[in-house]
Amino acid sequence: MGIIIRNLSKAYGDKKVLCALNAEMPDTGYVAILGSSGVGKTSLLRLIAGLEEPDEGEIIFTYSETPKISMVFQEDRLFPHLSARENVALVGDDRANDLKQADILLTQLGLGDCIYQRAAELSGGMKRRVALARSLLYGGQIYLLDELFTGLDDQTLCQVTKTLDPLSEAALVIFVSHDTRLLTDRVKQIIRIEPA
Amino acid sequence: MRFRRRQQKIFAVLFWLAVWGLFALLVGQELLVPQPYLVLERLWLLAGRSSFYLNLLHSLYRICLGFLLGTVLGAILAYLTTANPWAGAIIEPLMSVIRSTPIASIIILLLIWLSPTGVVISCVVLIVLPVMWSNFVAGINYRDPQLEEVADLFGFSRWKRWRYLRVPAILPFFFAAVQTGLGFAWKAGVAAEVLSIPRHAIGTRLYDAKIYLETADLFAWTFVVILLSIALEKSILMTVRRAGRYLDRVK
Repeated sequence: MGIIIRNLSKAYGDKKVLCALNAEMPDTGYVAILGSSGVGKTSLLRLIAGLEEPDEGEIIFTYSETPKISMVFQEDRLFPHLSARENVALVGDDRANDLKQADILLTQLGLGDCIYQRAAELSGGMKRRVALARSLLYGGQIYLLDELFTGLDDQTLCQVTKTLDPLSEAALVIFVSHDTRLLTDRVKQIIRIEPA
Repeated sequence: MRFRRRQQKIFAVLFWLAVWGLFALLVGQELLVPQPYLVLERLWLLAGRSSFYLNLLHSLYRICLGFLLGTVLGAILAYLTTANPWAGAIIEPLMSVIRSTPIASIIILLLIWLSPTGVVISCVVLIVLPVMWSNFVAGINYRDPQLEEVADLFGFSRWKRWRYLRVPAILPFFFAAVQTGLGFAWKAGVAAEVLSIPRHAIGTRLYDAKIYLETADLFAWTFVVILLSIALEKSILMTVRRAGRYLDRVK
């Protein structure tokens, strides 16, 4: 087991988004979080990432040490004045090596031609992949991917999953998506969140 | 696009020169409003003398030093203001007092205490300081919550937060402060020179022009001040942008 969620509740003012959610997730493989808009899918990822505190309940990580968590946010959240490779290398500690790694990752994700392009000049789909490359370079035991696959064409989606598949054998990849193309047998678990 | 903008700028300059010429023609008295060509002729004549450059360099030195000191002091006080609420409580009223004190009062008071050069430099510092301070405070306090979360999640060091979050947030405020502050610095600095009359200064030459009713000289020196102010503003902004790009490359 990787993550155990017990009676998790979260509200923003009067609006309840998660109500006594219980779930268990494995320590590796893909986990899909599904649900209609506003049910708290992103909130759940943010709670797992520790960016927010739950109102009630708890999230237990059953790892020997506190797991390293990497995330692709729903918004790309890139540094607009930096190039694609600089955005990716930013999360590392060894600048020269990280830039090389960033180039490799970006090329793998089909962005080899625009590694020097500033983030502000990239299209939406390109930004999503740069954000993924950043998350991959940072590494970790848990990857949280919020709407990463939205708007990607089949070819790009194939490039992305080709990069993520080997990773999912050693890490837990939790993704939020409305895209049913991903709900194949590669997904170990599906968590459906109902409106609170 | 760039070519068109340049064309527009040239057109604007020519338009205002024409307005000036027409106005001078209407007034019809060279002593009150000289023709642009007379001012240019005078400027050409002045530029042929070594004293012109001596005056220019001395003024440039005083105003640049005052601007630099005002900027550094503004940055330090802004840091203290944002870092410690007590420091902020002490500094804020001081800035309000400096900002609302008439420039003439400051110059006259400084004339009692300091040498002419000291008066000009101090006056520029006091004029630039509140502008820089308020912009630095606004820049330091500006937060992009989304990028802050990115920094939290990916465990950015203190240096990285400053370099990639704070500095880019401060820069637009700094650029705005340079544009406003430099204009103020030249206005206050030249005014201080006119009142304190240092040996070599643009302000002293303006004072002479007033005494001897040399209106063309007055216009020529004013033109020099405008050109210097624009050139200085552009070079400072360019240097900061280049420094930013260099930092992006090395770290």
